[in-house]
Amino acid sequence: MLRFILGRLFSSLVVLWVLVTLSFFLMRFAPGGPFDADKKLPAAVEANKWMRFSMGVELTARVAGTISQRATVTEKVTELASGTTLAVITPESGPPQKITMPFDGQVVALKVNDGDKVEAGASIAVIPKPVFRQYLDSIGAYLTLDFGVTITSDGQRTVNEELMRALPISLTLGGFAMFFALLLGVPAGLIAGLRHNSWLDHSVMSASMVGISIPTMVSGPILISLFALGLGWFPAQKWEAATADWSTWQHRVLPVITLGLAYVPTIARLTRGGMLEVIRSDWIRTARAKGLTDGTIVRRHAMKGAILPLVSWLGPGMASIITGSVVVESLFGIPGLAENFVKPALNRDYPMVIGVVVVYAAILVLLNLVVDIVYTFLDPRVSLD
Amino acid sequence: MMKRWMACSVLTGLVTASCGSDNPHGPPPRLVEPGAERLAQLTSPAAGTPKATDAPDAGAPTRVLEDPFALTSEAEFEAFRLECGALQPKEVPVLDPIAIGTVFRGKKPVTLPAIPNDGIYRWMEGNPEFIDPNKVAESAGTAVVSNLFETLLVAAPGNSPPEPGAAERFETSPDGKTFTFHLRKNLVWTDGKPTTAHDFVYSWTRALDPATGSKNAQQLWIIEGAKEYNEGKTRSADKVGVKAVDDHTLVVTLVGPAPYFPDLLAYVAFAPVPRWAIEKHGEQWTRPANIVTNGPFKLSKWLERDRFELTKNETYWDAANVKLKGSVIYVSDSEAQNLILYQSGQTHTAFPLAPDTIQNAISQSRSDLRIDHNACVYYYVLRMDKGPLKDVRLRRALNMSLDKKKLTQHVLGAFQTPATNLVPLMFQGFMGYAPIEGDSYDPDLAKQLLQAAGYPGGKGLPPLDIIYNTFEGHKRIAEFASRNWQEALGATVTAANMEWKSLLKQQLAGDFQISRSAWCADYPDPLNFLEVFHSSSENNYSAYKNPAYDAMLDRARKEPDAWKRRVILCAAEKGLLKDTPFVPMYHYTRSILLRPEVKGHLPQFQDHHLLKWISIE
Repeated sequence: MLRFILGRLFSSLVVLWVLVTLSFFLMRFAPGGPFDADKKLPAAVEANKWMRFSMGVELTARVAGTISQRATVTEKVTELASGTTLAVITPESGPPQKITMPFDGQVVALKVNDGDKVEAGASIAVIPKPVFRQYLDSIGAYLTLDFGVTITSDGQRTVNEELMRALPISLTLGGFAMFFALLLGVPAGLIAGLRHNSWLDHSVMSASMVGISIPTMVSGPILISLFALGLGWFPAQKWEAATADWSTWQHRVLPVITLGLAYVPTIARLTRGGMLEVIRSDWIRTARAKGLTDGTIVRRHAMKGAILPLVSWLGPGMASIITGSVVVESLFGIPGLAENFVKPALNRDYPMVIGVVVVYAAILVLLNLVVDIVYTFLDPRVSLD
Repeated sequence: MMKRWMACSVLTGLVTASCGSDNPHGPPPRLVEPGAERLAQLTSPAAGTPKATDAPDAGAPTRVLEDPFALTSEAEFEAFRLECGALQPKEVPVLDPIAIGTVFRGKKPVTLPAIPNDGIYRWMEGNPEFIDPNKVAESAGTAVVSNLFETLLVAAPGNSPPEPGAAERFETSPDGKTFTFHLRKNLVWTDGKPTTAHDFVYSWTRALDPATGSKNAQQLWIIEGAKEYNEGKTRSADKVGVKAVDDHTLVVTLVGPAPYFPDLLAYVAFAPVPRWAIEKHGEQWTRPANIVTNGPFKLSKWLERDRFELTKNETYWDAANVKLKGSVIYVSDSEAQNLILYQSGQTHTAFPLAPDTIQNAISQSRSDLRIDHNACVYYYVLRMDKGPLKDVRLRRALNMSLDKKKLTQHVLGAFQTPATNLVPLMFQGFMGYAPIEGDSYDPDLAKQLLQAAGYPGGKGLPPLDIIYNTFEGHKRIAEFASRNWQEALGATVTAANMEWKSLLKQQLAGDFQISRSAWCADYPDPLNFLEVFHSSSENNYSAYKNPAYDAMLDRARKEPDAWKRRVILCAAEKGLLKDTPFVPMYHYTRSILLRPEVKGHLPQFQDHHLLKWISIE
C-alpha cells in the first residue's frame, strides 16, 4: 500500500512538471502579453514593466555620446535577427559603441532617435527575454512551489497568497455543496434502485432528468429572486468569508444549495445504477436464500457495492465541484478560486496561471489517490499491491 | 433632420437651451434645477449669465477654409473661430454642472427596499487589484484611492473645475509653464506626521522611477524632465521639474503650457505618498494595517475581491464639511450582481447596468434612473496604409452611409449621441470647445463617393472585415454596421470577434481593415482625443500620418493663448475629419440607479464622484 502511494505521488510530480511546462509555453505563445491594454502604454513605460517582472533585458549606453544609425523598427512587431544593430553611440573621443540585438526577437522599446545625446548608463532599448530563458529562470522556483507575484496585482501580492486566500472559500463552498448533494442524491438513488420501475423510481428519475437540464445559471437566479429578493429569508449576495463563525450561515445557504442541486441528479443516477447491478448479482441471491431480511441485505451487502460507481466518480466530481463553481461564485459575489480559472488566462497573468494549474492538478491527483485507497476498503477484489 | 437634431443635442449642455419635443432621439432631456446658491451665482452680473454665444453671429462674414491646417493670419483665425463656433475666452459660459451632464432622468417614484440609515454610503466598483496611488490606473482603483489620498487640487462635484485640495492656492507663470502651489499649513497624515511639499516631490519621482514600473508615469510626462527620467535616459531624478521650495511651497515646471494641468492634477497619480511607510513595508504598505493616508477617508478594511470599508478621517483639514461617516465599496464585476445588490437594499446605487436593465428603467421612467453624458467616443478604426481603405473616398463613403441615429436608437437605446466627430460634445459645456460637425448621414452622397472611388454600386470592392473583442454589445454594433454597409453600399462586410489580447495584438501589428476602438478622456481637453491620431501616438491604429495634422497639434501644445489654442484644435479636428481615418459611431452615456436620499452625486465626465461631496439625507 505504502509503495503504491509513494509511486503514485512520484508519478504525480512528473505529471505536474509536464503540466507546468506545457502551460508555461502555451501561455507565452498565446497572442498579446500581460501589459497590452485598452489605451496602449508608451513603449518606454511598457518596457519598465517588462523589466520589473524580469521578462526583459535592458541594453544600456556604456559611453556618453550621440546616437546615429538607429534601426527602423516597429516596437513589438518587427522581428530582428541576433546581431542587428539597433543604434550606434559615438562619444566625443574614443571608439563608438554599437548597440546590437543579443538574440533573435523583437524590441519592446527602442528609446532613442538619431541625433539624441545620451549619458553613460542611459537605457537605450529593452528586449524581451527569450521564452526558453524565462522558463529556465523560473522553473526552479516553480518546483519549490514558489510561483512569484501576480502581474495583475502589480507585484503587490504573491500567487501563493492569492491561492491561500481563495482556496479555503472554494473548498468550503464545494465541501458543503457536495455534502448537500450526497445527502439528497444517495437516498434518492438507493430508493429508485430498490423500487425499480415503480412510481418512486420514475419520479426520482424524471426529477433528476429535469435537474440535470437546469444549469446553475438558471437555478441560481430563481433561488435568489424567490428566497432573497422575494421572501427575504437569505441575503442575496456575498459570502462573508472573513467572519468564520455561525453568524454568517445565512450567506452560505443559497450558494451551497444552488451548487449542490446541480450534482444531485448525477449522484442519484450513479447510485441507482450501482444498486440495480448489485441487487441482481449472485451473492445477493445467496444472501436472500440464506433467509436474510431485505433490510439487512441492503445495509450489510448491497450498499457497499452499490456506491462503488459513485465513489469512483467522487474524485473528479469533488475536484469539479471545488473548481467548477465559476457561475455560482460570480452569481453570489463569492471571492473564491473560480474566477482565477478564467481571468489570469485572459489577462496573460503568467505566474497566476501556473499557480492555478498546479492547484487544480494537485487537487485532482490527490482526490483520485484517495478514491483508489477507499476502493480497497469497499471492494475486496481490488488490491493496490 | 440630422442637422437640426445635432444642433439641439449640442445645446443640451446649456441651461438656457431647450430641445423641441420632436427630438427624434427620445424624450427631451430633463434638466435638473440648479440649487438656490448656484442660481444666485448664475444670475449675479459678476459671474456673467450664460449666453447662447455658440452660434456664429449671423451678420459676421463666414468663410469656409478649404484647408483647415493652413491657419496663419489673424483674419484666418477669426474666420475659423466663427466657423468652429469657438468662443472668446471671456465668453466661456458659466454653466450649471448638473445641467451639463444629465441626458435623462425618470419621473415615476419607485419603492425601494430599506437600507440602513447610518451615514454610510454603500456602492460598488470593479475589483481594484492594488491601491497604490502611484500605480493605480484603472477606474475601480481610482474611485477608491481618490477618497483615501488628497491631491493638490481635487475633482469638484459634477463637471465644475477642480477645487483646492491640499494646495490652498496656486500661481501660473505668464508663459503658462511654471505652476507654484501653496500648501495648506495644517495638513497631517493619518499617523500624525505633517504633509509637506516634500511628500509630493517624493511621490511624483517615485511614480516616474523606472523601477516602480508605473502605468501612470505617462500622466506625469508633462512635467519637464519627467519623460527622460522615466525612460531611463537620465538616471537621476534631479532634473525632474518638481521642487519643494520649503515645506509648503511646491514649484512645478512643465514642458509646455497646459491649460488642462489643474484638471490633470486632480488625478490620483499626483497624490502624495508617505515615504516612511513605503520604506518600512515595501509592497505591503497599502495593506490596511500599514497604510498611511491624507485624504478625507481612511481605509479600515480591505477584504480582497469582496469589499473595502472606509471611515471618515477626523484629522483631515476639511473634516467639518465631510458629511458621510464612512463608506462600504462592494467589489462586483457583473452587471447582474450590481442590480441584485441594489434591489436587495445593500447599496445606494447600481452602476454599471446591463442594457436590458437600462431600457426597462427608461420605459418605466423610474425616478432613480439617471443617464449622464460621458466623455468617451466609440469608433471604428480604418487601417489606411493598405488595401482599398487607402482611398479617402471609400473611407468617407463608409462613414456617410452608416446610419448612426438608427444605431443609437435601435441597437444601443440608452440616449447615446450619434457621433460625426471625435471630441465628445460635452466639452462645449465646460470649456467652450464647440463640437465640430463631420460628415453627416447621406447614403446618396456615399454612393457617389463609392462610384468615384471606382466601385459603382459596390462592384469590384474587395470584402471588408470588422474585428472586435468578444462582447455582446460590440457584436450587436458590428452586426448592425456590416448589414448597414451591405445594404447601403453593396459591400461585402464580415464581422469577426476575437479574444481581447488577440485583438490588441492584431491592432498593434496593423493586421486588420476595420477594428473596434474607443477613447475616453483622461482629462477634459480636446487635445487628449486629437492626440490619438498624432503620427507618433501609440494608439494611432489607423496608421494616419499627416505632417500637417501633427504640426497643428504641436502648435496647440505650445500656444499659451486659450482661445487661439481652441481654434487651432478645432481646425485640427476639422482637417482630421476630412481625412476620415476612422468612423465615429457614438458618444457614450452612463446610466446609473441612485437612491433619492443620496445628495451630491452629480454627473461627471469621467464618473469621478468624491465621497467628500456626497451626503445621505
